[in-house]
Amino acid sequence: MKKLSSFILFLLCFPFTGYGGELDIGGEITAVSIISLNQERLSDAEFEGKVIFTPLFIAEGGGVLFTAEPELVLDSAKNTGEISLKNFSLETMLFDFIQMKGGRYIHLPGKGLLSPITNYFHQIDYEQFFSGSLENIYAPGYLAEIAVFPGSFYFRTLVSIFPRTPSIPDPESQWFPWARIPEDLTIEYEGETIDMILMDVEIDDSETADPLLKNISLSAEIGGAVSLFDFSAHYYHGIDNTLILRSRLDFPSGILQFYDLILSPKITTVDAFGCNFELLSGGFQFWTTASFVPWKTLATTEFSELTQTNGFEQTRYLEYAGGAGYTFRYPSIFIAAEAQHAHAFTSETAIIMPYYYSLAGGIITADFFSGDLTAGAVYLFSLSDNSSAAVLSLTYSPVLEFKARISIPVFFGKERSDFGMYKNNHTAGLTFSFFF
Amino acid sequence: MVRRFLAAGLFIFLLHLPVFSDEIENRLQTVSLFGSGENLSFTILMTINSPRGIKERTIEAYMQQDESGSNILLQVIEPVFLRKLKFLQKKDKKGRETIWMAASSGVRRISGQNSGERVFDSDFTVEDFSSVNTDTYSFTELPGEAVSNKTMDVILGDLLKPRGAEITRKKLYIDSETDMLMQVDFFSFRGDLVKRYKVIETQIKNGEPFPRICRMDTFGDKSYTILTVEKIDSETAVPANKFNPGSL
Repeated sequence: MKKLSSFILFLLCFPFTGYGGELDIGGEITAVSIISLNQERLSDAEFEGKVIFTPLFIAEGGGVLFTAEPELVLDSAKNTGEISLKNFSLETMLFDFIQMKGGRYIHLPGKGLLSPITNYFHQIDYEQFFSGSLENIYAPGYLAEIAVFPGSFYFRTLVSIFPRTPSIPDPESQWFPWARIPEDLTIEYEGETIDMILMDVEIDDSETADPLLKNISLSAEIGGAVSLFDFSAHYYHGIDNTLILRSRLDFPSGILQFYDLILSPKITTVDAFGCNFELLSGGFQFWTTASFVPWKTLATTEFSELTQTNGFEQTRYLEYAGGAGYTFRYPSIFIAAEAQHAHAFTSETAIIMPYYYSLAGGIITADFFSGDLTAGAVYLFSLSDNSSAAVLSLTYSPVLEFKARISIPVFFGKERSDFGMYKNNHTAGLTFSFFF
Repeated sequence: MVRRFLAAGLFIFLLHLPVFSDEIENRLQTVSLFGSGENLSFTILMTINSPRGIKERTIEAYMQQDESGSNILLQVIEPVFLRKLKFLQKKDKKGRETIWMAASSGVRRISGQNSGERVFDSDFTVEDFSSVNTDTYSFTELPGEAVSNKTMDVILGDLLKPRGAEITRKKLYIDSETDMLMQVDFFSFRGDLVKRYKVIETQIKNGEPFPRICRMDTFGDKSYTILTVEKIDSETAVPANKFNPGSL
């Protein structure tokens, strides 16, 4: 895939360099450090760092706009350096009113921090959600789109040519939400009830290792601005980005009581309908968004004795969210709250991933020194199990060309709760970004 | 005549101003009566001078006016990392105005509460680029004054609800001959001069006058921003999608 991306980049750049188009180059250098403070002395604190270099190439010529963002990541923890094509796109206008765009990029159809419909289009990077900037929580997709813009309205269709296969995070990672997988099982075997003890969790992604052209997703949206409202309505048919896992029991020791859990992602298809409204009046901001899936596949906690795998079921699935915010001008403070709930009809045993179920979130940011310094706090509260997470951050950006940010996530709740399952390992994320 | 009004409006756009006098009202109404079907695009060099140093931005500006209303789009072209910064103002034929700002974090509407937000880190705020709300200011005409050896018509605008606002009074200077907005003084509630916008140099394009160099001073911050209009295109039609918030 990376070779293909590089080849596409070469092909797209070539016409501009050869035929006198304009080429602008800028970019970003970001140094990210995760500091583990769970030590007796601060001097013993452990550092893991990344340096990310993201040059941005923008070329224009012949009515075509080309954008490319390769990315070089140097990771001190893994002692590796990786280069990839993060984003690229080709954009042009036909007859002055039809916009065509294709490439690899992020398309956000919804609004709000936790917009449910957005989850079908993009995988959420939860590590970014807690430790990074909010605008980076969505992964880019391979898209081709056609859009028209009559008046204050727009109509857009998108084809996702390459599927964005759900990927399983590292089980060793604190971000891995495996607490939803039963750690201790009781099964009936040859008439006896056996208490099972989980020994290990392994990943098997062979089923989804080569997803090229395996799935094509299609979506359409219509939206616009009417009076005080921004609105949009969406239809999506294609791969479900919600992480759905097939769990298989394995008994490496030959003893039935001790088992390993083999997890493999399962690709499923959904039809999703969504809508989104936002209202701005004075300093107030209100938004609401909802999505409905008539037939959504969910993994269940029921294990088959015969196949030793968990089951799946299809159910109607509704997600909805509403939020409100207010901006104070003097002093410069933004405060907002949003609540989200997902409802799976007629299902009691379905595994609904954390963050998709029922939670409330709040954010408050305050600007100081004419906006040079911003203090922020994000708080998420699970309405289903009362666990919570908070991220405190401080951002210093005296000029647009430089930004320094420190963020500290903290978690509250029981070990196997929505947020409590993350280790409270006293980490702090420190980020320095230079833009050019 | 049409273009000189539009050009002036790019920087401090004053449409449908509420007035006490019919004479002032008629004078300012002409701004909105002209320009139907007009397309304008500019390339502007924005130079921001502050105690921290000098920063430059190249901006493309697009304007369109027809019987359904007016649109203004400003977008940063250079430096490249700021390309996602955009400012869109749409005004319908009744003068109702909607503003969106785009950044790397997404597109958001701007409310009246955010009208003091700086545009592209410059001394210009959202309010400076947008028109004065018809419910916000009351205007009276003052005796004409001579500025830079030119006779200026002077109109004073007072904020109707000044409580908590940083700027409560604006004094507009309009060239009697060209009808171009040449200077705006912004005063605080205490009467202190907080900001000043001034056209330093004008230019003629296709027989029409346009600002060439203008400057916005923010006295408290000891900073100022200079806009230099480098290119003006009044013949090429601006694609409709430029002014659609869905394409920001």
